[in-house]
Amino acid sequence: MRSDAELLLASRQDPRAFRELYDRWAEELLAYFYRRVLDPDVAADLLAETFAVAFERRRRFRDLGRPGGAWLYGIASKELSHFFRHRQVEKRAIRKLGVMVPVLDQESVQRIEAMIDQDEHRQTLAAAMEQMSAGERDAVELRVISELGYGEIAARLRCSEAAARTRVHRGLAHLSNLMEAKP
Amino acid sequence: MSQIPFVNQLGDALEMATAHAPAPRRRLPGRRGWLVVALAVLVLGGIAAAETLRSSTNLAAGRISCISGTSNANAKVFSYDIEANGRTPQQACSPVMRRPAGRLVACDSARYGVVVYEASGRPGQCGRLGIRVLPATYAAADAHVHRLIFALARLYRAQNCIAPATLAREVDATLARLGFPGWRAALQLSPARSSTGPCGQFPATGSSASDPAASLDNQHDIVMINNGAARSMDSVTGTVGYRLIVASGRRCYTLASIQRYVRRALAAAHSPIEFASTAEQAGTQAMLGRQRYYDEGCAIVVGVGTAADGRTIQVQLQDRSSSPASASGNVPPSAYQPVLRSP
Repeated sequence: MRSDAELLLASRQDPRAFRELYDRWAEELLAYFYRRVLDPDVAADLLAETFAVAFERRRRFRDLGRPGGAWLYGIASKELSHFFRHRQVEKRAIRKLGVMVPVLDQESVQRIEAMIDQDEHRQTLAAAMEQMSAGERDAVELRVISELGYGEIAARLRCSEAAARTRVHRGLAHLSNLMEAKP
Repeated sequence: MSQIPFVNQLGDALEMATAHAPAPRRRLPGRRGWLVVALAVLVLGGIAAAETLRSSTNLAAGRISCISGTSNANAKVFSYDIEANGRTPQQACSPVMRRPAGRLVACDSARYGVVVYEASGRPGQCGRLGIRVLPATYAAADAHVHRLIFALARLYRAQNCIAPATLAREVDATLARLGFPGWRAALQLSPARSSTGPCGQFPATGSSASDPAASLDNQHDIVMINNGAARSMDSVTGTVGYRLIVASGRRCYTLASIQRYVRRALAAAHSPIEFASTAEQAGTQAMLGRQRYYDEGCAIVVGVGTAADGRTIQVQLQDRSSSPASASGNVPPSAYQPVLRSP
């Protein structure tokens, strides 16, 4: 079996090698994103952009003996950072490459949610939620638990839609941080 | 093959796109290209000094990312949107990363702003990561931005309610006075259906109904201004509101008894109270113990806010006997069924 580095180097000439790398890492990266953003749609978009960026930058990859997965995680963490800073997934590489990102179907959402240990995750989530401020908890609850659109969250929180987005994303960032920080 | 249909579909989509992607071409610049490069170096060199302070200001107006690791590749914990609040980036990240500030390194990432890593102990850590060391002008720029945030907070606190356009004018004057060339106030008023009141305020964050630090958009050099309720109303709905939501998850209230309870809790506000009640939207779950009571036929509080008039407190209730909420993503306030309006 070819190593990640070999696949990345081969993908410069052979896009099929890139597909092999994708198949190897896609689920793990999807779970990585989902644990942090707690939103399957956002996690799916982040996954798509990460691989589009990886394909775009595959020529810059240098085999320095580190696993190729670490290189992918480097891109993934940058995309995640961009999401938390700008409250939206960057889709520059997706657009540039012309990737038609499929719509996330219900079965995929259920399987993504099933990827993480629900019980342990739920306990960690509950503990983290308790540490959040009331305003943050409310915004996150409306978005993640009640799955409401930002328009309705804005109506319920009596704030503008932009402010609702800010509240939800700040809350999710804080929640993600609290969950990560848990020993 | 993945068990997740989306993963396979995205893989196919990527494969299709990458198969048709043009191979990147690398070529050295020709004579004309070298001329362009030389000119660019001259021009960039000429504006470098002016740009340094400006980019430091924009850097300081952004947030800080704390990366628990010596690089992104070996990072374990990521924290974003940390506010400096007058501290150095290392001091700001120290409690989050549980490391002494002296063992942290702050870098300037062109894309992500200030990024703090654990010190690797080797010199040139930022450069090795392909990003810059935090500019020497950062501390001065941060103090500059801190003065602006302080001035904006003072503007907001000066009156109980300041019209959005007036606040924007005063923000513009403050930006000019404190020396933020190119920055301006930008009104981002909510549409009528989710209008939140007649007063200007900075964007809300989880910890504040109006946060000047959150209003700075360093990508577009703007200070965002939203419309909202008066400060006194935000204070009431923010504190008592959440207490009411929690309370409705602790015991069973009827629609009438919850309204009595709400009126008692909000009596000190001396504001008219408007109730609206709907059934829950399909597929949604109320947290904080409320779902169980809702399922048993009790009424629960799902939101407390201020009406567009800026003085009426709106309380949103849910109970199974009310009309269902709109199935669309956005529920206009008109969809809520008013059941009582107290004098």
